[in-house]
Amino acid sequence: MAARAKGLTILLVLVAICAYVGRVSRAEQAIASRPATAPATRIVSLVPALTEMLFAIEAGPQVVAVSSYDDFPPEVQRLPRVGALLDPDVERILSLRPDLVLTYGSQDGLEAQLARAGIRTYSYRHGGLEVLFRTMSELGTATGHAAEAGRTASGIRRQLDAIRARVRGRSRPRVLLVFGREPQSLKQVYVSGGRGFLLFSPHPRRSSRVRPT
Amino acid sequence: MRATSSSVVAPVGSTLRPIRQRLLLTLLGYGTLALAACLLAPLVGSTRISLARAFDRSIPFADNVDAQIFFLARMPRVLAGAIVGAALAAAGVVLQALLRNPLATPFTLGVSAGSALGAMLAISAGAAVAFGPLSPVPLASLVGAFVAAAIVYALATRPGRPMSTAVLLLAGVTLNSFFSALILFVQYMADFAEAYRTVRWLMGDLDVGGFAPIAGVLPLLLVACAAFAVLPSSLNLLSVGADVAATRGVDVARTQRLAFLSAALATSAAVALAGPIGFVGIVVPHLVRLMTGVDHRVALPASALFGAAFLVACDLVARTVLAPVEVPVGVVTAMIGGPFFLWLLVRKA
Repeated sequence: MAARAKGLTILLVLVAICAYVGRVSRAEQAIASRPATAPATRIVSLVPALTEMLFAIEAGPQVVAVSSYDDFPPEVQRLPRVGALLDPDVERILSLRPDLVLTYGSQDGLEAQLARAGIRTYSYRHGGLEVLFRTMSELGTATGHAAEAGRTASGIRRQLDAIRARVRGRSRPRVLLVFGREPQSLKQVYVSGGRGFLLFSPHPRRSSRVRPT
Repeated sequence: MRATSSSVVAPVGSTLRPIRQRLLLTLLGYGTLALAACLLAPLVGSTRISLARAFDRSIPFADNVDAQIFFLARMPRVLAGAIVGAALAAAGVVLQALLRNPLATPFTLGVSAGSALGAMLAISAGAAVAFGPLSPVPLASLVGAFVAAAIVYALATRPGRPMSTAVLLLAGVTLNSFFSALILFVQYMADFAEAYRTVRWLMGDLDVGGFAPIAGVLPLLLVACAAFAVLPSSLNLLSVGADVAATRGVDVARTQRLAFLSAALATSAAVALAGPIGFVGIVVPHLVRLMTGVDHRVALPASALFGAAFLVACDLVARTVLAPVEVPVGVVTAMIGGPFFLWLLVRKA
């Protein structure tokens, strides 16, 4: 008897939850997604690389918040932080009323949540140089700075072409690029050739320290 | 478990009235607590919202930031906390009775480690297979949990005979260690970002991102709940001993199987939804038994309701104490649960 009453209570609670979930889902579906053609005016960037790109194409003033890892350009220091790749603070993002949120490709849960609130997202994944140019162009269109994005991209292409022209016909050394997150770590970048380029110090077992030859 | 008090083994008929009253009172008390936690928790967060605005239907949802925060960020999270807390606490009660071991938790039987291994593999391999509302990681986590439960079940059962609880416990613990080693291996082979994501998953997280994942695991929990509803009387007798239970007409083998399968189902659903959140499944049953007594007819529903309230409260602490930085909820449950459990041990000794 008690078991039956208990079972019935549990069932009722679960039915109520299902009904509630269904109602909210319908409310979410009812949101007509806004036309995506208007340039974004309030942007939240969760990807530091994209933040830098926005400032490079002169869309910096439209950025309202950045990720907790952003530190460049210096203008981002005064902007609110809304978490990052693994811990985005959805509540804060929503409270800032953004019309475009730049996310990383693996943040599909966050993208779905924002879509339900009718907020446009731009999903990015690290790739090669072509991805960089394509992203810059797409961000330019999304933010109303297509011309600036085009100019910035052309500038970078010119620099790359200049490097290619400078090394054309020269011998190609084997290159090891070493970098880290710590400031000054680019000091460790070195280029070498000849008889090999690694000298391991004897004691650390896995991450062997590397000295330039 | 010391469940030998005379009231437990007394015939059900003689204690029918008191037990019904106690059950009603307990359900009312703990139900109010759980309801209060679920109603109060969505009111608090890293930003301030106006409830009147959140429920104002004249403002379109797309323009109503308060409603978006309330319904998209906070409610799914509170609901997930309540469901996961209830499932883990109830599974804890059932397993402690089944194994007759006060240290048994929903994670003792290897189900959570299997679940974690599944999730690790899905994260590391970048799996993209989804099933209905279940995205790849919860789906892989469920598959892992089912595989682990099937292995332990196959090892501990012999046709027509009661389960060997010793084998169940040892197989579970061994499988836990084995899967943990595999998890470490997968993490070691994964790249830095994936390894970090897997570590974060292992800490437990109730930010489920919407109602769909909750709806995805709800059928499993429904089945587990149905089994939990018929188990308590048999568990009372089983916790005294399999022989005693058998002489009093309990189908021991059937009860043990039902208890194991329902607890495994509830655990796998909870872990798939929110990752392995520790301590709820061990602390809550003990705490509730301390307050309600050992009768499973009362302790089981009370634990489920208290578990819901406990996890919702822990998650509230997790998301507000260091805001905007969020503390993983598993850290909060362990930090509150650990010292409390030690105090309980010392006090009992």
